[in-house]
Formats: sequence, C-alpha cells, structure tokens
Amino acid sequence: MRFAPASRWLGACCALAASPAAARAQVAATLDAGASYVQYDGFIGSGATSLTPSVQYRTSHASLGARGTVLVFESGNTSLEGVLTGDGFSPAVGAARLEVAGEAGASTYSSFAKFAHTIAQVRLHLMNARRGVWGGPLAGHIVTGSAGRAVHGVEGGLWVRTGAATLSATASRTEVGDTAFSDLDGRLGWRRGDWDVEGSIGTRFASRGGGEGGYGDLSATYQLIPRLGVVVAGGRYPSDPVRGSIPGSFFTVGFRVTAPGVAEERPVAVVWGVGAAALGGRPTPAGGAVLVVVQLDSLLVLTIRAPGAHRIELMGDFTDWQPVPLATAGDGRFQYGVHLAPGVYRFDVRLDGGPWIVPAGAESAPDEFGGRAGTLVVP
Amino acid sequence: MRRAAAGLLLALGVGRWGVARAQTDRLAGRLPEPTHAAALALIDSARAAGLPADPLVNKALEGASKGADGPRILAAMRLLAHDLGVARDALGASSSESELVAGGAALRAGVAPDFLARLRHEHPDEPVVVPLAVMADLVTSGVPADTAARDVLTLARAGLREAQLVEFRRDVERDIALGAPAGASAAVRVSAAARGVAAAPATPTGGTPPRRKP
Repeated sequence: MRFAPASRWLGACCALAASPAAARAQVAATLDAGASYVQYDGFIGSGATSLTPSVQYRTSHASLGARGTVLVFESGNTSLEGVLTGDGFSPAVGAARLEVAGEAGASTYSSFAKFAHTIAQVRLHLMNARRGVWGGPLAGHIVTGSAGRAVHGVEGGLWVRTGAATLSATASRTEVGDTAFSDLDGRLGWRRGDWDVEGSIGTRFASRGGGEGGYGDLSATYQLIPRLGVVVAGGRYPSDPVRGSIPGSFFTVGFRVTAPGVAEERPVAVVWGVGAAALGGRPTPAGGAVLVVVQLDSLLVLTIRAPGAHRIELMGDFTDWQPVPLATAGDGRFQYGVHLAPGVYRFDVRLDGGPWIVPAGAESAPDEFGGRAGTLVVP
Repeated sequence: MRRAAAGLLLALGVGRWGVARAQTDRLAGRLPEPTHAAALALIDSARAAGLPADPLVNKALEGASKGADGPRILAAMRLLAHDLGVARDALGASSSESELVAGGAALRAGVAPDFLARLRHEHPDEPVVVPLAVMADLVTSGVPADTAARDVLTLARAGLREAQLVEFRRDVERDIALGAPAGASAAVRVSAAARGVAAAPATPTGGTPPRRKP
C-alpha cells in the first residue's frame, strides 16, 4: 500500500467545504490491514503485509489528518511512513474561498533510507455545492539523508459532484531541486450503499528526472458489517520525488476496520441522537434510516443516513407537523437544520413517500395514532 | 400613574390574547370543523387550568398529518392534557412547559408520579427536563419503570450533569443493543456512573454544577 497524494482528498474536502449544512466536527479513524504484492520498478516482485492506521478530524472549515503505514516485505525489511496533513478554508466571498494547506511526513526503508518532507500550499477555489475549480502554488522542502532540496510547484484542477459520484481532474507542475515533472490526472469516487469505489488515471510528461508514462489505480471497499469492510485495490503509481517513493505496481487485499464511535458523525453536544443502532447495535427500521444530530450553538443539524433513498421528508413539532423535504448531502445523507429552544420535540420521517417512521438513533414512543413518533430532546 | 398601569395591564392582556390566538391559529384549516371546534374548546379548558396549549396544538396537528380521524385526535389530546395535569401536580405549578412535556412522556411510559415529585423535591431550582427524558427513554428501552426512575434519581442525587445523564442513557442503550438485559445494564451503569461522580474532583466553584441560563 502507498499513501495517496494529498490531492486525492481534495474533492471530498471541497465538497464538504462547499456544503453550508454539512455536519461539522467529524472524526474518522480507520485501520487497514492487508496482504500486498508489490513490484517496484527495478526490483523483483515481493509479497508484503501492511498496516495503515489513519485518523482525520474535519469541520466545514478545516481538517487535520494523520496516517501511517507499516510495510513488512518477504525479505523481512520494513518500510515505515507517516504523514500529517491539515487545511483551512476562509469564509466564502461569493463563490470564492481561499484554502491554506500543509503536509509534513517522513519515511524510512529498512535502516538505511530516510526521507522527510514539508509542503505548504495556497489554493483559490471558486465553487458551489456541486462543482468547483481551484488553483495555486506550493512550496516546501525535502530532506534525504543529510541533503535538503527545495520544492516548488503549481497545481490546478476542477471537481464535480453528481449524485453518489465525485469526479476531479488535476494538472500540476512540480520541481524538486533539479528534478521537474508535470502530471495530469483524473479521479472518480463513487459511493452507494455498502460500496465505496475510487479510481484514478493519469500521465506524467515533460519530465526531467521524474519518469514519464501512464499510471492509475482502482480500489473498491465493501462494507461487510458495520465498521468492517473488505478492500481490494490495485494499480500503478509514478515516482513521487516529494514524498520519496519510487514507481511501482501493486495489488492489495485487506480489511478496513472503522473505529467504533468516531467514524460516524457524532453529536458534539448533549442532544439525543446516535443511539445503539447508529453504533451498530439493534436492527434499523424499514428503510435503514439512521439519525444523527449535531448541535452547533442553537442550530441543530439533523442528518438522516438512508442509502438508496431518493427523497426524505420530516415532520414534527417544529414544522407544525407539515412535511418538509430534507436537503440531499450526498453519500445517502439528507440534512435539515433548525434552531430549537431547549425542550422536548416529537418528529417522524418518511422515505420516498413511504410510511412515517422513526429513524434509528432516535428514541421513539407510541403516538396514540397507531404509529410511533421520535423524540428529540434539546437540553 | 393609574393610566400607565392600566395601559400596562391592557398591553399584557392583549399580549396574552395574541399568544393564545397565534397558538390556535395554527390549527386553522388543519382539522375538519367539528373536530376543530372541539379541539379549541379542549385547548381553552387546558389553558384555563394553567396547562400549556402548545403541546396540545402539536398533538392535534400530528394527528391531522397522520390522517387520524377526529375522535381519535380529540382522545389523544385529552390523554395528553391529563398527563400534563398530573405532571404539573407532581412537578409543581412553576414548572416549565418543557418539564411538563417531558414529565408527561415519563408518566405515559409508566413512571409513577411520585418519582416526578421526588425529582422536583430534590432539585427545586434546576430544570429537570433531561432527567425526565432519560427516565422515559430507559423505560422505552426495556428498563422496568421503577428501576429506571430510581436509577435516574440516584444519579441526579449524585450530582450527574445533563451530559453525563445522556451518556449514561447511551451506555445502557448500547449494552441492551449488544444483548445485555435492560435492568442489569442499568444497575451496572448507574453504579459505575455514581462512583465516577463521587471520585471526581470538586469544581473550582465549590462542587455544584453550573446553572443553565433561563
């Protein structure tokens, strides 16, 4: 396994930053464990086992992440990599937002190759909730052994989110000391139900010491049970003089474990939500809708996760029991923001015009009309 | 001076009338006429008894949106008015609307009025919406009503804050989802939660949790 370039996450970050109703303050942590076959250019192919812990804290305006990889080859040699990433978005001025991003990482192979890098980037985004373009310079420094080299570059790209898919394209020119190269690549991320598929294809050209040619990869994750998925990935990647990896091909089969209680959006205040069902407990009701409530000052953001649903309506004490449609937020999520004073509120939701139900994650009580109503308590 | 006082009284009267009007206006066009008139009468009578009208209006609107017929809507409103009345008697006349709604839900779940009164007696100046809601949720989750009420009283007495009560409820629900008997989970969790509070250091202001703004 290999670190995905920082730009891989850009589409998702931009999509989140562009969504004003997105639930903020999410923490996601995963642990990938797998078996790989790797074929580095100039080396004999080798089996390897890998362990990749990852944690990310994300709000609508900023994110912090940390990832690491331990790779043990057939020979017994070990490769260790670690990277910290962070970015922050300015408030929007019209469709424009400024992003400042940083990345720092280090890697070692066996006991003799050591590598470290730091990169800072500034990007100007023009975007709305579904599409955007961005561009900006990057600068940094790498250290190989005792020698250091400056990094300069410029990147630009565009992304489009449509339904369950996010498509992005990036063009970049990077100079690392006397090495220079250009990349052009496109990425597609697609999520539906228990499937999460990502793919990329790209080409390197106008290179001076950075290699040339095409590359691409494809990964598919299938959620076996809550918090446990199986991952199959394979492809080819180019050299990365910034992060210190040589070109190669790989095929990996592994498992992804999602840390309990943090991968789901969680309430950041004492608002009813994230019941046992959202934590993988009792069966969900018809439609599999799961409610998560996040409180942001006096604003409550109700997020219903219902993969496969096309339309979700909500009605309750705070809508005068008139159905209101929830806004789609992608990935099978639908959201509704409402300012509520402290109190007890009752509500129901409806998926695709079906019966009114109480989503899992919310307490419910009989409604005296032959059904049930969910309870939302705002302390 | 007398004129100013009369003006103030008039303004207060008009204000209260305006609020009442706004509450009942929410029902306009949502209920068939015979039911509408009966619902308004029921709301007026509850208001005269010092009970909040909004929960009754909400109940009527809920029934209308769910396609219930008139008699069923009125029966649900009467039931709620009764619960609100019992909750008010147990929690005191100065209780907030939210407390009465939460108390009514706890009563409907099966909690005895005496537990509501004890909760208020032990916390006369604090809002008890969350403890009441936790009681109701625990019972709904399968914890016997008396056990749930006693557990929440124990934790409230031990000084658990609202967030800790919510966490306690979440822990119990998680245990139940994983297969633990509801009553046993509550007993274990309440013991752990109470010990945690007892072991916690006092707050700088002397140990009492901060009061919430009105």
